[in-house]
Amino acid sequence: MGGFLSWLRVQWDRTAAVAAGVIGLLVLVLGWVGVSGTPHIAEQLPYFISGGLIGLFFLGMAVALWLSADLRDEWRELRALRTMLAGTDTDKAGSIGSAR
Amino acid sequence: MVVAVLAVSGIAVVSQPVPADTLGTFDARAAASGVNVTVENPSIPLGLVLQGAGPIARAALDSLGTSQALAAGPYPGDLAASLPGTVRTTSGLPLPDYPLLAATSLGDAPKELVAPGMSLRAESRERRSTSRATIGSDSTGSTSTASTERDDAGAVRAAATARADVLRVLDRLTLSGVVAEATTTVDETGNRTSTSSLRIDAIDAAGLVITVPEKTPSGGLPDLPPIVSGQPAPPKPPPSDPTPLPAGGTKLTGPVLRFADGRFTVVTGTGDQPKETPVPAETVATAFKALGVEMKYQAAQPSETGVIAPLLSFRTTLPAVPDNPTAFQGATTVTLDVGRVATSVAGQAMPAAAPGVAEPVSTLPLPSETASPPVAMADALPAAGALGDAPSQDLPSGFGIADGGAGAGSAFADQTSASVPPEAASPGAIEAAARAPRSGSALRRPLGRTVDAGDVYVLFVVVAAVAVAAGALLRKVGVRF
Repeated sequence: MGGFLSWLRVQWDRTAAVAAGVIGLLVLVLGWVGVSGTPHIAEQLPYFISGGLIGLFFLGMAVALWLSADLRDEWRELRALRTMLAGTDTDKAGSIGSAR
Repeated sequence: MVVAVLAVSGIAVVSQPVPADTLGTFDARAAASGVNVTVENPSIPLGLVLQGAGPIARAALDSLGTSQALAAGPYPGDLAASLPGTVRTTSGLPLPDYPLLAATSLGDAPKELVAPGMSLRAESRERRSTSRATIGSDSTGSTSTASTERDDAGAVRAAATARADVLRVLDRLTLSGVVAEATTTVDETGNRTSTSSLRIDAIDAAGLVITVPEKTPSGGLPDLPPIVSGQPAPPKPPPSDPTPLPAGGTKLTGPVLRFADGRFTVVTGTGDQPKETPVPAETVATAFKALGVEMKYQAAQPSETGVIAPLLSFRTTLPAVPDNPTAFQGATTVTLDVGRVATSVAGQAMPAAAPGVAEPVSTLPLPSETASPPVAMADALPAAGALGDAPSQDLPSGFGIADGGAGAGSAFADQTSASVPPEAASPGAIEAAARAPRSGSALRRPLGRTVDAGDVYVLFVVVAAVAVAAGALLRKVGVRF
């Protein structure tokens, strides 16, 4: 449990992306149900706004958060590489200095 | 997630909304104007025509959430009523709104204005919009009502009534028991029914002398040729053998006339059994002409979306005032119109099979081949506020819920076109004409063109799917490497 919570904390953007995606889909479906329930445009408009537009917003946010999480992964890997390279350089410099 | 969104969009495309026939879109309007008076005088600058009407009641309701009602007492016309608000906005002068007006839109609380000799009420709700204006009292005054509503079953109804107990004009003409009504109903399957009528229980003019002819005119009764605004004269009825008229040859001095559905009768006798004798309208018109009053009758005009009730008009020219220091010179022409009532409901039923698949206008009726060229509804409808000539060939346009300085909202004037079948010009044929099916496969004019709401929502779902798919693609080719 503790591991899962720490994973959620580390992967907060992917967690938020999944949550936003689920909410977006749910809202979209509920909006569709509302629109289907009445033939009158005046009564459909609230479902358009609260269902359609908000659903689109959440889905867009889910996509953005997931891409952000992917970018963060890349940045982590780049940082790890840079750190590793920096460590390798230090080791090399140390070994060269001691050899002299 | 992409799969899920695509699945939702698939469900949305497959399962169309609206399970049964119903009015998907509608636009209902009703307007009643008790009496309309027009005054013309050559000394009025720019040839302007002074107009006045009252009481006025209008109501509008549509499927886009518009719900408006307006009730006005003596009404100077849309332009004059909105003038204070326009001047206040443009100049900053603290002018008050036109006071004898109650106007509401959806969301407003019902407005009621009661003043000595006048009562106005307007109420706009989501499914019902009503207005009622009374000048005088309920029992002895003039009352106009207008209502538009959609019931639970989905039918839409527009109704307007103008009643006047007693109208006295220049001490020469008295009209009693005037009732003009118009109703248009479109049920949930799109079937439209329109009815209208004009009834005047008693027309009394000082000095009127009527000589009842011996026989009916060759065209029979009623013989008053209907005048339809903007339309060529309808064909004359086939000649028929004149038949003897009861009380033919009788000369009646100061008779009481009754008018209903295009027929004049002379009421004689008192007590419980008054006797009504039909009189050719031409005879009545001739008698009025001898008094210096020109009488015209406009038959009801069924239109594509509703009906305009019959209208009776009296026009007289007052002698020129004696020389006076004011600029008011010359003879004055006064026109009195009675029965300016109109209703319309533009509606489109959504078929159960595949809403939004067929061209929306294809379900609307096509004007019949014999119908006259269409005229704009705004031209044909009686002007409730801005009034002009007598109901002759050039009825003035108008019929707008103008801003009126009270935020009354949009205008009625942008109505759909209307065509008037000449065969339906006689009052008896009004309802039949309104019910009559019209042939044709497609309507070539964009009448009531609308977008199916379900299709728009499907577009939302597709956009969501595309957004998610684009995000996934971007992730594959742009982020991950």
